[in-house]
Amino acid sequence: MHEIDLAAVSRVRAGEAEAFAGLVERHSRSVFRLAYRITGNENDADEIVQETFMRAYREIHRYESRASFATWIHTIARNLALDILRKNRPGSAEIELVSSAPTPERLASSHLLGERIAAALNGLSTHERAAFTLRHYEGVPLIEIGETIGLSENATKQSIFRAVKKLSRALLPWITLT
Amino acid sequence: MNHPTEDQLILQYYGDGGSDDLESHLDECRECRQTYQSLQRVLNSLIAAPLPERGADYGQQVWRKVQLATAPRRNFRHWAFGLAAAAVVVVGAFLAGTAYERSKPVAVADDPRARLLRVALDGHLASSLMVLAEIENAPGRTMDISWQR
Repeated sequence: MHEIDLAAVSRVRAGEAEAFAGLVERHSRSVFRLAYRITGNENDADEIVQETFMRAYREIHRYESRASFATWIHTIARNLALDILRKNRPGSAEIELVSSAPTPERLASSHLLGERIAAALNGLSTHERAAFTLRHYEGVPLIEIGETIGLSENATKQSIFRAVKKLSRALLPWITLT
Repeated sequence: MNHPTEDQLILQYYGDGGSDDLESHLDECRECRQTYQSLQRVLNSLIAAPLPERGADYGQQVWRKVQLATAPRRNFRHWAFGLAAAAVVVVGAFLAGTAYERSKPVAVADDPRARLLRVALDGHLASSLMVLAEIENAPGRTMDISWQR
């Protein structure tokens, strides 16, 4: 994948704009997933995908092949998603989850598990959601998460701890019953 | 080892600070092991977080929008260049035409028929002027000009 991407980047830099289509094809879905997990909103995620690839196209000369194209494009998307998260959810740092015990009928549906998880993730603050998403889904190292969201490594850890505890409180009773 | 805190268990899950001591403790302590297994269940379940699907042509849709968003500037330049070139051609043609008209010799000067016509016209205008002057100065500003017909 890395070699294919590098070849495509070289062609784009040489003026072959159509080569960028392959990069979009290979990475747009993973960028969408990342954007959606951070923002929890489809429209925002689509917008982030669009903006991410536009920026990548315009600034392709800035890409350094030491990192993979996927890492580079995910970093752009991650920063855009965090900007949107901060803009759309100012003062959400103190949001607490509302506890509601599910009935056995509702537990029967795995679709509802998804809804419950989405609700639990939406109950996280901006920093908690960003830090947790990057660590849990993207496997980004703590120090890098801190640099991305502007927190120290220790503060990043604390955000992740709070996120996991909130998610556990919201989901554990539900998961135990399933 | 003392019972690990929840934070230590979270770090253990992500591999961000686990230790052999902690693993040994989890093997030996049923209570901590159950707590850790609960944490694992919750975090593992998050894979079930709903992710909206995107169609097979999602990449193409994104690429088309990227093209549209990045192409207008180039198109505008092309249009601007085309318009400027057209304007230069039109103005150039106008100036060239004007210069040609000015430089063209007046052919009628040497044409005897045109010269006769001009003499005849001059004579006619002169006599018309005389008649108009007579009318202007005639008593009661009336006079018989039937002889002019």
